[in-house]
Amino acid sequence: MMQRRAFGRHALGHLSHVQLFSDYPMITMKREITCISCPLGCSLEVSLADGQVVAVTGNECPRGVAYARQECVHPERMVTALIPIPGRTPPLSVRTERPIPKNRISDCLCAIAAARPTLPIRIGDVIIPDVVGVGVAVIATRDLL
Amino acid sequence: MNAIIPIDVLIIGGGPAGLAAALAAKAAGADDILILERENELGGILRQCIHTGFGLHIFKEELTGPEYAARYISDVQAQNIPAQCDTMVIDITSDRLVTCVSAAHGLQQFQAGAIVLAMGCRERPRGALGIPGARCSGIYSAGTAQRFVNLEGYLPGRRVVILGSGDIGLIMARRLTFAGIKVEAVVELMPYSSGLKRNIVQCLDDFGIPLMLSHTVTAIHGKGRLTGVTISKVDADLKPIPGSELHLPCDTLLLSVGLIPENELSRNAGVDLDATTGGPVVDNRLQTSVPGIFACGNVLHVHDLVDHVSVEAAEAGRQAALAAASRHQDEPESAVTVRAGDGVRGIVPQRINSEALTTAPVKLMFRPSSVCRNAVLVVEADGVPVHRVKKRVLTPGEMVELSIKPDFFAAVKPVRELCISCENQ
Ligand SMILES: Cc1cc2nc3c(=O)[nH]c(=O)nc-3n(C[C@H](O)[C@H](O)[C@H](O)COP(=O)(O)OP(=O)(O)OC[C@H]3O[C@@H](n4cnc5c(N)ncnc54)[C@H](O)[C@@H]3O)c2cc1C
Ligand code: SF4
Repeated sequence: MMQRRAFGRHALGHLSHVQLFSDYPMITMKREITCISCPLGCSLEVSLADGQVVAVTGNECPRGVAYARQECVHPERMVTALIPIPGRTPPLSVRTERPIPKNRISDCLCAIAAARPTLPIRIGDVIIPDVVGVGVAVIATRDLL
Repeated sequence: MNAIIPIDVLIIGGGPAGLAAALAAKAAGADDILILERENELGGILRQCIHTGFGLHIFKEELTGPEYAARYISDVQAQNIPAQCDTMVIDITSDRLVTCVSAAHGLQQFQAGAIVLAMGCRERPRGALGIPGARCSGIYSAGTAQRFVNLEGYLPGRRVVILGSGDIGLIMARRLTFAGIKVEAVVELMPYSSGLKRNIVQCLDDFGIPLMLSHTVTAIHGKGRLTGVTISKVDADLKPIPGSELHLPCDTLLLSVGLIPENELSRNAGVDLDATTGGPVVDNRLQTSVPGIFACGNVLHVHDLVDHVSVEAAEAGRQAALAAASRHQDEPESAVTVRAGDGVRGIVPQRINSEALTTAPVKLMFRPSSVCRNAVLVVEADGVPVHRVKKRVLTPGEMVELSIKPDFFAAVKPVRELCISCENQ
């Protein structure tokens, strides 16, 4: 438990370069991901315990660790989609104002598909104020007057 | 036929390059500017790029294509710069007489003080690839499919295979998946993808779409509509390996196999083209081999980031305004040729005014020939190495920028040639 506290969420902020806690008692899972923070695209092997990142290997710089923590613990994505407007082309293009949790993409797409916005719409207009309860708005990315 | 209309700066193409060029020309003092655009609205290819990833450098925000374009369009409108849409330019001469057609004005001719070429690029069609097999429907370039889905509101099919892992293909894999279409695989001839890592992760890996490297489509099946494709593994010489064939049923094949600058008009004007970039040969002012004709954006060389297009185009617009104001015919000036050495391809600009080289930094853009880790870029002046710079990683998918500074030439001043090469450590 001592060790666990020492490498808890905050202590992990200091992780740099290759960090390996091979004797960590609670490793429950390993994941392979690709770091997208720079064109090198290192293949990272991430060890997770209790849903937290405890070790990262394969990164050639500290940004890989930060990426692994984000991607394995709270992965987020911007979502862009289209809403067909009967009798009009092009369809209305929309996006989430900020990235949303990755596991809500599918729900978010369903909510967008169910939206029936009324024209005229201006770029930046809010189409759904709080999509699937994640606290992020869906906004229009073009004018449709 | 109408009278010939005189104009100071004429901009051909109303995409991000044309828009930024127009704004910069105005800022540099040109008053009489016109943008000609063949589509019914401004914005260029950005209109159909509804995904995010634009503007991180210029606006420090992750915008979609239409949002990025809208910012420039509203600036152009605020500056009262006229743009004529639905107008197709059909000819440019070397003395800058431009002919265009439109339903509204019929045939028009403009005599321009300076011209900015900003026509963008087009996709490599299937014909350029030579895939054998049936000539059935269901085969599109990825950008055409993107236009169908994002601008016209149609879906191209139900089961899709994508040949080529360029970014447009990757982006379309995600868009089609979002629309409920099954993307069977992305098939890539090379042992690496030309697309951004970010797109591979967020457009393929997120949805479990396989990326088949070192594979290609060797046959196309179907009468009337496509019913499937044969995929084969390729060897180190990119030749299909017999016995490795795999049949993938699908009703749609998208090709995402590269872009070529759109230069039919430039050719008419007598502009020299570069065999590697596919775009005009330009000097450090982005002037082509024809005085008074400038080029920028994807018509000059294919860019990955629109932010770089806007910066480059602003310089072309500024230079065009200066050229139009002075109306001087360029005197032949002494220029240094820029040559791509080992490991480097497609350098822009291809010529640098000797004086410019020793007075202010000149930015070169190019791509490495292959993926290089711990690379060293070497600058040689008439065969003498004058500068070396280390780069952690260079990939053909990301354009490299290198600033050539006057202090490189403290000892040796190039008179004929500057050569850039990339050494793999
Ligand atoms: C699918 C895709 C995804 C991309 N993703 C990103 C991304 O995530 N982030 C990013 O920063 N960049 C991205 N880019 C790159 C960026 O969009 C381009 O670099 C940029 O749009 C190029 O601008 P341009 O003005 O040179 O060309 P274009 O946008 O192609 O504009 C050229 C214009 O010229 C007009 N034209 C051509 N010929 C004529 C003629 N004869 N007469 C009149 N008009 C003519 C065309 O109609 C068009 O409007 C992407 C590009 C594509 C295709
Ligand atoms: S770990 Fe560092 S070097 Fe490797 S891809 Fe990520 S940012 Fe680039």
